[in-house]
Amino acid sequence: MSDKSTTSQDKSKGFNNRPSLGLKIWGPLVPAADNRTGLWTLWTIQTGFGIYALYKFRKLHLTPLTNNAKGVIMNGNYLPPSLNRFTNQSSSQINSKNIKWRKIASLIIGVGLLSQSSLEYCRLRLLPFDPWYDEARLMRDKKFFNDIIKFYYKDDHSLDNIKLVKISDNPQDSTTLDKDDNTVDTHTPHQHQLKNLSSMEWRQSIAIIKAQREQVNPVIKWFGPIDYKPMSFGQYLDAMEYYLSMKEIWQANNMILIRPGLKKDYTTLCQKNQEWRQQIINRSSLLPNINSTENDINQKTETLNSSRIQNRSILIDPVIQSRESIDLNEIWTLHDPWMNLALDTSLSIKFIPTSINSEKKE
Amino acid sequence: MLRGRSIIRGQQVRLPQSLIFKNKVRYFSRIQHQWNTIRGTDTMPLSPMQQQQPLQGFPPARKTDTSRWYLVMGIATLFTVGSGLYYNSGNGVLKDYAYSPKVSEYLKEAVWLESNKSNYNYSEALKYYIMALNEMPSYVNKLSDSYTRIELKIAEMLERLNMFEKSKDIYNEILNRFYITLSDKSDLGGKIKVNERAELIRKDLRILIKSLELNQDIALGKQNLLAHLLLAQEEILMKSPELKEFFDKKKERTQNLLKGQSMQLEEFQTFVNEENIKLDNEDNGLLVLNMEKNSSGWEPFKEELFVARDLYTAYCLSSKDITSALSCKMTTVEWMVMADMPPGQILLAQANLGSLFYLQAEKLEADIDQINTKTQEDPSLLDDDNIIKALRILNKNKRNCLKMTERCYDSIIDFFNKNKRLRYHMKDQLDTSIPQAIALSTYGKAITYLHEGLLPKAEGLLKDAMKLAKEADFKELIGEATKELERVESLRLQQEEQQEGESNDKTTI
Repeated sequence: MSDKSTTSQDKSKGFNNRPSLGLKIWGPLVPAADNRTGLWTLWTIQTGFGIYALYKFRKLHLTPLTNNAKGVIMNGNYLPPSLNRFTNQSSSQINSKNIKWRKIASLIIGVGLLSQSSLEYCRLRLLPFDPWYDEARLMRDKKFFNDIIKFYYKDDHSLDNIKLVKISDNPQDSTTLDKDDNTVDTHTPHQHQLKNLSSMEWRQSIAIIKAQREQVNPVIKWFGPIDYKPMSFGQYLDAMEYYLSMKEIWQANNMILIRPGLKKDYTTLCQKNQEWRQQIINRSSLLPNINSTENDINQKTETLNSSRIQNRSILIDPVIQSRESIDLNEIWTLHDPWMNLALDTSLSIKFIPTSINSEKKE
Repeated sequence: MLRGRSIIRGQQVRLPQSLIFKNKVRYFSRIQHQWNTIRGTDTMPLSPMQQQQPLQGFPPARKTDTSRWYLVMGIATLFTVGSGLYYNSGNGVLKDYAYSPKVSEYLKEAVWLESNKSNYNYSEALKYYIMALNEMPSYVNKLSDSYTRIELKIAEMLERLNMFEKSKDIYNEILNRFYITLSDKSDLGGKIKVNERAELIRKDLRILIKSLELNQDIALGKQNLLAHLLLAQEEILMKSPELKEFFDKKKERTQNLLKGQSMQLEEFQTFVNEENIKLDNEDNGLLVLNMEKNSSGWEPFKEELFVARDLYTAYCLSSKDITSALSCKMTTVEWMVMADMPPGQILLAQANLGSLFYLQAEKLEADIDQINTKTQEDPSLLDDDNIIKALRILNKNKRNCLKMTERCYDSIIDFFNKNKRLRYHMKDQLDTSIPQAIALSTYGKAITYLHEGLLPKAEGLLKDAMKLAKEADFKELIGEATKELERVESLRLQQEEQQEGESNDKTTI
């Protein structure tokens, strides 16, 4: 990781150190603020070193100032340390000076590291709001969007072969290879399905795959988009101050937004739904008797605007033969109800004026 | 002596928690050790036997081992604590609970029934989803994905079975649950973390939009929209100082209006310009997001928010309240720029804004006509100062609205003409809202020409718009444009007839 980071830093002139409260000694190694795994890893290592330094300090502190204070092991046997301070005096003097400095140094290092760690701990755990985190996450999303655009409009021939091979390694995505680029063998399993895709869809999926690959690139994963400049510490403080003051205002006049009776309505609605659900389990006659072939349902639902839903029927991999072998996690990632809802609700509303209205009025 | 020491040693092992005590013991033992050496064998080294004997119980080599062992242990615990902290940081209200074996059994059955494997048996799947929901233990938070996911599935099944009333009830239940939780702000950032709250609002808005789609009652829909939008808006206000600035400015503006200063035309600026819509660095003319702009206060629910706001605008329009639709849309576009929405969305929003300005101008014109017909009936009304003043204001506003319409459309068309990349790649735009916005503005411009009676210009633009709309696959616009073209045709025929009539008149004279 560190090698990569330094090379990437050299490559891009505009690399800015990632911000942190207490991990500053790591310099350019500090991960993006939304990379919590990375931050906690560094925090743990730093705290470990801090504790070690204090431990070292304590050990040195307790060591009597003699040259062989710890005792010596000779021929596999332990020679206890001597309290005789009159022999080897010169070396013990040097040693005691040495130990003194080491003591001070380890104390300073230990306390310093631990206080830094506690600062970072505050940011990561105790403060309610982290502007850096939000910013880093936003930049990642923006980069993803821009990457898709960039890869989409890039000429397809600029795809180099290595990348193509990489794509085809991925069984799911093998099909989204560029069909204009004849480097792909035509025996991919889903070939027949993909012929239905228009060239635009081809390009779209390639762009998305490339952008996704860019996202999982370890350097990007650790640092976030390389070329963005995180807000300065001053801005961070401003954002924090603003947030806290707004929170105070908000909580001071906690307006009650709920219209009276909403809670009551809610409980009755809950009960109603619950009762109705119970009825459905007990009596199936409540449900419309749909002879469940897809065509039927298609015809019926097309009358309403939910034909969009139709495209998202669950198709189970033919390999899976029984219901027990269904992987629920996989189902939820492929057919996440919340994601489906998001697709359903991303409407594009347009207002089209007409001249006819006004003319009619005239 | 030996024994005593080993007992002390033993204590040391047994009481590792008291560090200081341990240190003292160790120090003490070391001193004792040294005393031993001084007393007995300072000058004479121990024989190997003697040396080994007292040390058998606790060789100092092991002593350093133990201290190292402590260190390793310490670091290990630190790592576990660290990783624990890390994992713990993601879990709040939205924690993803693991399903109990029974629930997951039901869910698997339901998924199986719903899928192609059982020929899409939605009614049976619905039952299993309901059973799974009934089996959910009470400790599972009803806001968590694990719970709402099943509810959404039930609603989806109901929709597929065409039972829209019932699915609406389910959505309303979730919606109210989210709303009640979110509107309680006394415990901000406590039980529900800040990021979770934003995520909840996003989900809330999604459900809101869905429930509005199923809803027929406009008044209720509007009321719901207002309440939920206010919630989202306040959330943004917490994190976005720009929005606060916006509100402060707006306050100032309304105060000025109250003082009698009307809004100047110059104050209105269009939003599509180089500053707001960023092109990529490599001069490809690609429309990208600005990486230097931090709009994190609007995340992650900005898309849902703007859809909901557009719905509100549409509701206003359907209840013929063009003025509030217009002001809502103006705010929306301004906010979209603030939130750094994708450029296509901003373009489309501005085109829509142009359309709304045009509608407003039309409405004002209708008002003027009404007054005019009244004054024609009763010429004495013209002596009334108030009416003349009103007419003047209406006329001025109408002219302003038409000007703003033009500005909105023109800036988009200019932008399109300047950007070569866009001009030559209209067909394969990734974001369909970009060509749609351009087609809509070209069409809108044609309509304004038509309004002014400039038929040839209007016709040319309409044809352009038609072509663009076909490229963008913008079916609604194609329909409207054909209608308008027919109108232009008939108008032209009328004009020609008139002209012929006039020329005939002239020749007869």
